[in-house]
Amino acid sequence: MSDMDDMDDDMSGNSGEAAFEGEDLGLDLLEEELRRAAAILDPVPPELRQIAVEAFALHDLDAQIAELTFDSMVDAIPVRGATDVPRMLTFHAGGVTVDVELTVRGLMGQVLPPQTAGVEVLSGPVSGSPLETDAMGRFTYDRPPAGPFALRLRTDEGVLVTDWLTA
Amino acid sequence: MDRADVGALVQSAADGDAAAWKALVEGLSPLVWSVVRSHRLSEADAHEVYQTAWFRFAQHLGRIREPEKAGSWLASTARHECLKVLKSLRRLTPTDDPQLLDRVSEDRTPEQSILDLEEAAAETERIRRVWQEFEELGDRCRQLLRVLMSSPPPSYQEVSVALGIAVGSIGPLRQRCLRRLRARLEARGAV
Repeated sequence: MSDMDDMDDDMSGNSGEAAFEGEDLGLDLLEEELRRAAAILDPVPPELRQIAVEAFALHDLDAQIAELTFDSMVDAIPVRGATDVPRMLTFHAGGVTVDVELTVRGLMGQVLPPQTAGVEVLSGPVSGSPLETDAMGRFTYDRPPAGPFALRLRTDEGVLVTDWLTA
Repeated sequence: MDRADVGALVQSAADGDAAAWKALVEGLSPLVWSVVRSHRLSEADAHEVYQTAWFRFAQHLGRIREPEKAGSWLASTARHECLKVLKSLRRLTPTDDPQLLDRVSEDRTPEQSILDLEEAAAETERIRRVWQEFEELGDRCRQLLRVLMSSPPPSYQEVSVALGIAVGSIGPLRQRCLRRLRARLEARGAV
C-alpha cells in the first residue's frame, strides 16, 4: 500500500483534505465517467451473469450447511520451500465432521464419526458424480476440482452441503 | 441497489421466487465483479471467485441475518475468496501486467463497438483515456476506485467490507484518488 505515500507528489495546489468550492461536483462527475468506462471496458461477463442466475438451483433449505472451520490455506503456516502441499479442509455441521484433503490429483476425505455416506462433488448448479464412503467414512475422488466446488453428503444426520470454495 | 428492495428480493428469493433471484443477480453482479476486479486476480481466478460468491449466496439464502445487507454479504464473501486466492498464489501477476492494457484496446464489448460505430469517437477516446490513467494509478487507489465505480454506486458499507477499510476513511480516500486521477488526466491534456 505504498502509493498513498507518493500520492501528494503530483497533487500540487489541492493536496489538502478539504474540498474547495465546486470540487465535489467535479469529482462526482469523474467518478461517473469511471462508472461508464467500467460498464463499457470491464463489464460483468455475460456468461458469468448467467451462471449466477442458474445458481438459484443451489438454494436448498432442507440441506444443512457444513461450515468451513479449518482451511490450511488460511489457518496453517506454510512450509518453507514446499510446493504442491495438499490443502486441508475441515467442515462441521451438527455432530458431523468432514475432513478433506485437496491435491493436484483430486480429493480425499473422511466423514466422522465413521459412517457410510453418499458423497457428491458439486462444481456448480448441476449434480455431481455420486460416490460412497467406505465403512470408515473415507472417500476418494480422482479428479481435481477445476473451479468452485462443494460436497453434498447424505449422512446419518441428514443431507449436508459444505460451504462453497474456490479450488 | 436500494436496501429495502434488496431485503425484499432476498426474502422472495428465499421463498422460491426465481424472478427475485434474477433481479438480485442483475442488481448486485456489478458489485461482485468490481470487488473481484479490484483485487487483480487472473482472468480465470476472477471468474471462479465470482462464481463462488454467488454459489455461497444461493446456498445461504434464507439464512442471511440481515437480508437488506446482501450487497455487503456478497462483497465481503468475494473479498475473502480473493484474499485466499492471492494467498495461495505466489504466481501473482505483477502490476504492470500488459494484459490489462491490452484489454482496453482489444477486447471490444458490444457497447464499445456501438460507440465506435456512432460518431462518438471523441467520447470513446475520452473513456479510454480515463480508463488508461485509472489503470496506472497505484494499487490502493485503483482498488478503491474499481469498487466505487460499480453500478449502481455501492454504499460505503459495501465498499468497507469489500476492501477492509473503515467507512469513515472512504470519503477522504475517494477524494484523494479522484484528484489524483484528475491530475494525471490534466497532465496528459485530457481534460
